Amino acid sequence: MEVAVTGDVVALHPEIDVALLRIAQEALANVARHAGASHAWLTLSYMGDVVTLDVRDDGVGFQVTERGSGFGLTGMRQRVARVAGSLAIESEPGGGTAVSARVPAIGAGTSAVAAP
Amino acid sequence: MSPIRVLIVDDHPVVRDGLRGMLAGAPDLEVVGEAADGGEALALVGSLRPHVILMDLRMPGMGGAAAIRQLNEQGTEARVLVLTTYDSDSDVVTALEAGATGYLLKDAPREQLVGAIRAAARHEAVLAPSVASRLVSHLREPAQEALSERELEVLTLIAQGETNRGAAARLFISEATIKTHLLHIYSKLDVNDRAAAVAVGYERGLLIPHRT
Repeated sequence: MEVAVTGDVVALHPEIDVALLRIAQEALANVARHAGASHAWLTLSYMGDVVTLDVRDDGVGFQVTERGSGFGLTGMRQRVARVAGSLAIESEPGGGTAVSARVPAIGAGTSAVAAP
Repeated sequence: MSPIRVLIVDDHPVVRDGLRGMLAGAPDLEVVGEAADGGEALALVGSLRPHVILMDLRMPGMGGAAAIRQLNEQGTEARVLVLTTYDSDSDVVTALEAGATGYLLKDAPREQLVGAIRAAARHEAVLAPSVASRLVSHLREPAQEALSERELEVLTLIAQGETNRGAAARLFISEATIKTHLLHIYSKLDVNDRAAAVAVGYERGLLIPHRT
């Protein structure tokens, strides 16, 4: 597996960190269990206001259906939704699979003050 | 001058301790009490007469917003600064509507926290554009910001005629992430589509026309 990190790394809120870690674990477990892949790539992309986690493989892929609730995808979706993120699944038979979690880059250093 | 009396309301003892510690260095501030939820805070306000209440929003039992509403209904003198771990827009709005004077994240630097408490105690509007800007932060992007290395890679692939799908395959990432990179590129270059992004890329010398 190849791991890449792009952008300026910032310390994220623990809830965001944990969500990304769980998604990575789940997605990699799926690759191991179902994909029959020879390669997997994990990329963490820091983009200022958002961070995305991509797990891509060159395995057998599958037909992404509207319901697409297999492979623990529903659980992953709920997990990212809880931190105001979203999950995208890109796959087709024979074409590998990419799972992409997009979460707000809420950092350890963010702060705000305001008046009504 | 008598010190500003502060009441700390948070369900986590470690957070209360941390806040108390942060305020300890300010001679004009005095932490007069702590409460673990909204109900306890309401019970203490009468006797402790705080000037400023640092209030967590999410607590078991009575939450912060409900407590703020009740305090206002009781006509309390105390100003409420909401403190929370991380803000969702709805939290900010709810807290401000309930009557909070200001809104801080728990990891706010000490000076900001102390400054906000002083301003609240003076019954001043806590002049910090940060929340407003935070609420709309997703609408605006820093102008004229340099492209990141990865954004330059994406733009270069697009300039070479790659589709999103092709660029994703080349970089071993998802199309979704390519699209997100593109949105950031568009915003930084102040354009609306890939053709314009490529044009501006050449214009600014970000992309080098390659010789064959």
